[in-house]
Amino acid sequence: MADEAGEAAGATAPPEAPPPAPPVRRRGQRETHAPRFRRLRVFALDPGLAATLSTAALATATIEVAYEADAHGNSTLMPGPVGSYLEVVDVDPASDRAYPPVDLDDPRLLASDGLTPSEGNAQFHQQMVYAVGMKTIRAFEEALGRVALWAPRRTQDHGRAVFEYVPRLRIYPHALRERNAYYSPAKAALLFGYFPAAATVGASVAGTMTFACLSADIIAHEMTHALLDGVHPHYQEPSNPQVPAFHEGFADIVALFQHFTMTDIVAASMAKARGRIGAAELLGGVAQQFGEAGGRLGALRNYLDPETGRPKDNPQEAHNLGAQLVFAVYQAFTTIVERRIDDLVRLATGGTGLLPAGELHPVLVERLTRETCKTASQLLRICVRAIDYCPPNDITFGEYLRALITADLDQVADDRLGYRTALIQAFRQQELLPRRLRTISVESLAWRPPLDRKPAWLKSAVAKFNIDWAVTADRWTSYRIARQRRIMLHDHLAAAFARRHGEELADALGLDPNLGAFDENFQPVAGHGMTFSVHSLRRARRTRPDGTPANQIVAVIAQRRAEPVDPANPQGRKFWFRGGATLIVDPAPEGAFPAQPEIRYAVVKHMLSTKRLDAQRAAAQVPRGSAMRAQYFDTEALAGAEPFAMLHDGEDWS
Amino acid sequence: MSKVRVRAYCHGLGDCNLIEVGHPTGGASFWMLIDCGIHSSAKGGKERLDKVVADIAAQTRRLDVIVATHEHWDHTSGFSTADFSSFAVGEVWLAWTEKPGDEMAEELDRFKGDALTALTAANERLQALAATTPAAAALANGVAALRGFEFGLTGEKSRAAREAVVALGKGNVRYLEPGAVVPLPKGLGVTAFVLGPPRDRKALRLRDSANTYGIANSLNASFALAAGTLDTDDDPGAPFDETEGEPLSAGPARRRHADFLRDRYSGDAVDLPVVKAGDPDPPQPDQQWRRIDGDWLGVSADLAMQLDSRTNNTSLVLALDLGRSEEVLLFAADAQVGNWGSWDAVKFADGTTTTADLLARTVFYKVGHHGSSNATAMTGGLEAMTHPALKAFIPTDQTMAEAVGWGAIPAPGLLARLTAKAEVVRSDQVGDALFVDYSFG
Repeated sequence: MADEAGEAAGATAPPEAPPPAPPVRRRGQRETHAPRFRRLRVFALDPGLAATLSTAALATATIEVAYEADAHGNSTLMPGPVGSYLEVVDVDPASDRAYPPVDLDDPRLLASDGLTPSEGNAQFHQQMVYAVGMKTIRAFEEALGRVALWAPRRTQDHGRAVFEYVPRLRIYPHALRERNAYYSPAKAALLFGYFPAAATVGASVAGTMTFACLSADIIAHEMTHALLDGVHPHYQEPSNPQVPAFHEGFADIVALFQHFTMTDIVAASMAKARGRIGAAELLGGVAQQFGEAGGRLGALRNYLDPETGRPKDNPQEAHNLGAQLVFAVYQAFTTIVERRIDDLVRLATGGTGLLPAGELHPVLVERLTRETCKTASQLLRICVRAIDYCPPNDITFGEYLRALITADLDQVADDRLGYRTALIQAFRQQELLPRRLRTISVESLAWRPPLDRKPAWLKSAVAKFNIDWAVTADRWTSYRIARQRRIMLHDHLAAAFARRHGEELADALGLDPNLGAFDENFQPVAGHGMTFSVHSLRRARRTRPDGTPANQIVAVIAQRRAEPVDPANPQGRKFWFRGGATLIVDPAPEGAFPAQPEIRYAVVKHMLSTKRLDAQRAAAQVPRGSAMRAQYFDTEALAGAEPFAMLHDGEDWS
Repeated sequence: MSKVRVRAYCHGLGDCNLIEVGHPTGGASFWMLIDCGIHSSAKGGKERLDKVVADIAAQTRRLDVIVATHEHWDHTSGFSTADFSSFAVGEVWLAWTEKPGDEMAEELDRFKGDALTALTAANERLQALAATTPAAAALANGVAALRGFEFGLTGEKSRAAREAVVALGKGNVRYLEPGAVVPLPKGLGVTAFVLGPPRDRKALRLRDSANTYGIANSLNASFALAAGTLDTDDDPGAPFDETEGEPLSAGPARRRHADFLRDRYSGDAVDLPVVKAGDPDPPQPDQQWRRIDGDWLGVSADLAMQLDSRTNNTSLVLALDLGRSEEVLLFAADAQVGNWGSWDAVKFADGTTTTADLLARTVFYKVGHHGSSNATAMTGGLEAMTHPALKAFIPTDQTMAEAVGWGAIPAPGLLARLTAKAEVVRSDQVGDALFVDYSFG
């Protein structure tokens, strides 16, 4: 990644600042610096590749993950592995086993890039979930320009909402005996299952054990659920069908684009597909072995298959609906790649563009691979960065497109490579464009600034934040400071709402100036004036491709109101109707001294929108999970604890 | 021409239908009883069913045919709990899926047996966990209520009820295959056509290979491991061989491993951030909320639904063609998609009748599975029942369904469509009446 600094999507600071140099012991002595990366071997996609002769050489890969170290450069990674982000705890209650934690600092493992990939070695499984998990975290931190934080644990203490800091996401590699894996917000954990293959299909042999925790795609997918939940906790609520679908689709987008960090596989696929990225099957599907072990030929979800983009069966189910989003993004990706490699193919064919029969020249394959991987890494960065530009709740695919376009526009002024055009075109073909836009163009899709871009409350709040952009604190400190700043912004805003034109300000931020407080049981609490929360305040330290810093503050201001599912039965089941705004703030726009912070965009979900309320009410009446499950189980209660667990139907399993 | 009367009993969530085919020239009527059962969650179910059987006895001492459509308590409990000894029984009809010695039927029986064993053990554990979280309670309730299709109140199995009804046949037992055409005795002009269950591994979700291994076996292996009756090396569901890892419940023998589990799983959490005044809520040392002791039991919900829908799909589906009146009575038991979807391809032994023709002539439809949404196919099912005089009877109990936490029984969407197409009677909306009578022919 480091050598790509200055490329189109720009480089960002490393997640953790390099530790300060140890004290100089003797003048002139060379220091041995802590390594930046730890190299670990993994299954590149999943163990399925190893079973076929033609792909066996591609089955494993060595990846680089952050070398977790203290200020002196000494490793802080503990057996488990337990680091500062993740803790792998390998207990398997269904098998009444516990597998001893791997110690990646064992000198023998340090010298051999960790354990050799093996399905039969539980400690390798621990190594793999840690390695792929850390790699996914790095992709997020690079794109977002800040440390990743997990969603706090939400509990109640005598009616008070408690948000307990979660230092590490826990990973259970062998938690379930089933064809499933999920992120559990209630446990702040990823649970992976294992199961015997149902049929002999592809590389899968009936009866042999298949592990979700050995699929790089599944690990990246579940990690993404957890990372997205850390940024947007309200995306757990299915306020419209596209919200859970976005969670699923976004997780697949991240998993898909991670394929393109495995250059050997990309090269082999590009050679086999003769440069046509749209025919590279290994690259365009997720969880191949998992799919085949379930008894179907090919990947669990294949994004080269047009039916994935237009599912015939159950198109509104979260995974199927989410797949339509992924399909659009992957279409845009293949379009951009084709454009980018077109000149290479022409150069290699004397201008005709017609490749000769036989194998492609290895140098051409190498160059095609490099272009493809670069495109993938840039698109992934845009896709992840866009989540900062998303509304605080109730997201739709159209809004995600607007976030993508705005995020890219903020980063790269001219669209020389046609990324934005390709994205818009793909979303149009998939019929996922936002509604109620009169024209479809980059200009009309980009989010708008509010009327008052440089309000006084913003200037004084940002001054009080006192952000030192040069320093990246540890995660607990980041969490603590972010909370202090949230309180500061809340105070400034509350004062501004109380002043003249306060109601107009509230309206501009999507808030209801007359909305009071509610307790955790949906009951109004008397005696509160206008109640709102600054439920997130994130900073993003980014650099544009031209080298200029592009620091940003993302503030989420939100309200909630208890609403009955059935208006005729006000004492019946209730849901939270949420609204507010995501504000993208430039703390120091160019050309202004002293700094005059400016709201560049306001992404509003208005509290007083009756249309949205009706839509959410309709969504609340649709049972969670499949019809059969909802017939016999209280799926509200089940989904309340494990919103990501209901992956399939009773009959889908076998 | 024969007059046909259907007495549909309204005793709760369960099926019991008595059919009297009158003799055209004044001879003895022909009596057919299709199912006699009530779900074990129905309060006072046994007593209500006793009343039903007494009512049957008051009309006839002879049952020419008893049909037990499938092995579910809400269709067969009466054969186990009520007194049928005073009836003279001609024949007993069951689906081929209940036939001893039939390879596929025995495979199904094995699955049902394994699944029941697993669900019984899972139920016990889930009930113990139910108090811990609302989700655990929801899981426990759902599994328990689904088990109610398999067991009576005091643990009697629906298998026992099946054996009881077979015994009533005293050797005169027919196991019917799809496509079979059974004319009722001469002169009545009534013919029974068998539409399901399909002889199709796929539709019944039987596995293609002996090597494969279902949820039931996996759960049973886990329970056996916990009970100490199975070794890891002999556990086909185990992820690794015995050399990997150490026992969890007994605690690892290796000191470092035991310390790791204490610090990271079972004891208080270690190396938490140092907290100063004014800091946000810090993590608590208590990390019990992150344990996964029971999460693997979540799959028992899938198994309970598998067992339920596979058993429902073994439903014996009968279409009674009344002959000269060209009317058809359709008894679909609890057939689900796998069963309904197979009817179109059925070739009837008479060589002329088609399913489409039977559905088009249907004037009485005993609605599948208490009106749940997945037991009446629309296209090729209800939509193909185009007779203007169609009547539909739903043996259901919405109050009981709600009490045990089931959603949508009967399903509003299906109800709306039924109401638009047919004259609908719901057994839970007839007041105190024990039955509804229909006349045809």
